Amino acid sequence: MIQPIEAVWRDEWGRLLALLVAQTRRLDLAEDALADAFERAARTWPEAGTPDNPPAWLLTAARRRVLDRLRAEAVAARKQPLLAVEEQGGERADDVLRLVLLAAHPSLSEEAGAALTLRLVLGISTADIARLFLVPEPTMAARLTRARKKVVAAGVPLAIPDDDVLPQRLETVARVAYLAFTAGYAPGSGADVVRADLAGEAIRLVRLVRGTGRAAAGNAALAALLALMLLQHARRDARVDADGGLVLLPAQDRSGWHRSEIDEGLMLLAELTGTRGAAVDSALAAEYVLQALIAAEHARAARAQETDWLAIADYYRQLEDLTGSPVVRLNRAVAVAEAGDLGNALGLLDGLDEALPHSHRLPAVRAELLSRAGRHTEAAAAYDVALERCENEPEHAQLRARRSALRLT
Amino acid sequence: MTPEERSHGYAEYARFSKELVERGHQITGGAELHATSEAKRLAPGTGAVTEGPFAETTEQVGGFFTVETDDVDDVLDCCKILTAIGEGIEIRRTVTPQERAS
Amino acid sequence: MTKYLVLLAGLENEWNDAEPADRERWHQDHVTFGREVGSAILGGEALDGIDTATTVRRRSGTVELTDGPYAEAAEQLGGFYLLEAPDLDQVVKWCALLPEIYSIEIRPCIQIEGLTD
Repeated sequence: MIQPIEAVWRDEWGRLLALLVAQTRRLDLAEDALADAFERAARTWPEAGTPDNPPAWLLTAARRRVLDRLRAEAVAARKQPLLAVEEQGGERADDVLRLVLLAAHPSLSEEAGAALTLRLVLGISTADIARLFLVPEPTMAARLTRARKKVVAAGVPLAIPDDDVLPQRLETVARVAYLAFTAGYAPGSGADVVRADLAGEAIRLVRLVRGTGRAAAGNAALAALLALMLLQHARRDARVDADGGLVLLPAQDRSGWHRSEIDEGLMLLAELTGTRGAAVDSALAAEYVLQALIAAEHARAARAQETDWLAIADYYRQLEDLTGSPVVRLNRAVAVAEAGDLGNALGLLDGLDEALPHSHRLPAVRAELLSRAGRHTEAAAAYDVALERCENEPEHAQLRARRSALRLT
Repeated sequence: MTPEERSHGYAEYARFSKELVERGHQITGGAELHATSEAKRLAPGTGAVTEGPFAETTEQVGGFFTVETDDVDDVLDCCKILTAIGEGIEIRRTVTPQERAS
Repeated sequence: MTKYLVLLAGLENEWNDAEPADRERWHQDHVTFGREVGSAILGGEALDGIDTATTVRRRSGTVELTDGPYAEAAEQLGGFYLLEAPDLDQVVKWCALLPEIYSIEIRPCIQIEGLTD
């Protein structure tokens, strides 16, 4: 049973922080004070009872704390730099959007932006964010401190930018969420096949942003990204077996896929591609729509054997045309191979070593294709390279198993 | 969505997507895009490479069916060869015929 | 309000090898910038080429001079502006008016309490 305080944290953190930041113009004080207020609530509500209006209670407690700190600073004659905050007048939902745009500002690196957005907008603790991104807590704490310092010192505003710039800014938010989702969907290292909690937080972030108003709700990149994420995330439970091992698509129990999420993803995709796709108004949106179209092919196949690999391969060709990305080409090679053209698939892999020198997935794909082509000795060599580079334990185990199964003459 | 709606929808997707890239190219050529937003999408070698949530390299590669065998001895024989040349082996059972999705 | 130093960096030969039409266009960009930004510009200069630069370093008590800029880099400073702006987004908006050949670094100036301008 979820405690009232946890529910309030989950639903209200971003909004309450946005209000405090706007009023105090002190990012540091606002965060501390709100965390303090929640702590106080966690201590007192169990005995005194949950207040009638929990958010109001928390806001009042946080404001009191801010005043205390400001007084202490005044006494010590310390003056701290203030956030640039635009004059208010907008609706309440704007508060959260302003905070999102601040945390996911393009002047921050995507990594820093992702961490800061999860912290400020979703209220996830530094320790949890560190765990989500697989770094030690002090490292994440330092990353967040640097990001906050940059935001204040460089004068990143708490504001909604002009209409001509807002779509790009929303796309920066989309990229941040994409990064976080990928880290959850395909963790590069560690013991997990999938980090569903991180992926889920990325989805929660996009939903929250889309709920802030017309501009965000109508943003094609965010809509396409949500569709993509839902379609991929729907398989999370079927991707892992009882021992925490990796279960590939052909072996996944499709009854374990979350159908309602798939339906929602398909609905979003249909809206985007309907009316001749007038909504898809940027290269990033087009990219995410293509990825979602690919994800939709997997989602709609009743069995692995019914997957339309030709369609997927074609979507990948278009995606590669659009992005020139070597990662896209690598995935395209898999699709081409599954569609039956092993020769071309192997050809696509040529020249990728330069672009992806540290990837374990490139040699893994190469090994698999060579193995299918009967070139087992070369396959074994490729598996060795993959094993050397692979830092994700379940994937590592899988690669070892596949290498072991090679018939070497 | 009914199955009919779904399959009709997919036909639309397929036709639609062909226009997408054309439009994408036109948009990319436009001045309204922020320069750095394209930095990661350029051809290999020109910028940072972004990983993404692609199922093909995460959930598909390997296709266990191609190396899987019902003949366990066969697999063990292969492993003996590898052991002979000094490889450490771990065979990991991943999915039994009973567990395999039909 | 915050003071920002806007550093304009570029490839030196790009200016020198450019067509007169391009140079005229870039000059106009600066004029437009000046008009739009107005009194928010506290200062600004075009810099002479890196061949005219001298670097001074103090090494164990002595003053060492070298010929050229302090950093070995493909892109070198060609000019600067000192601006006053309410936030970073405003500076970014203004910088979009400047010639597209520059890499522009935007650095906030530290406000030091008690110092008069």
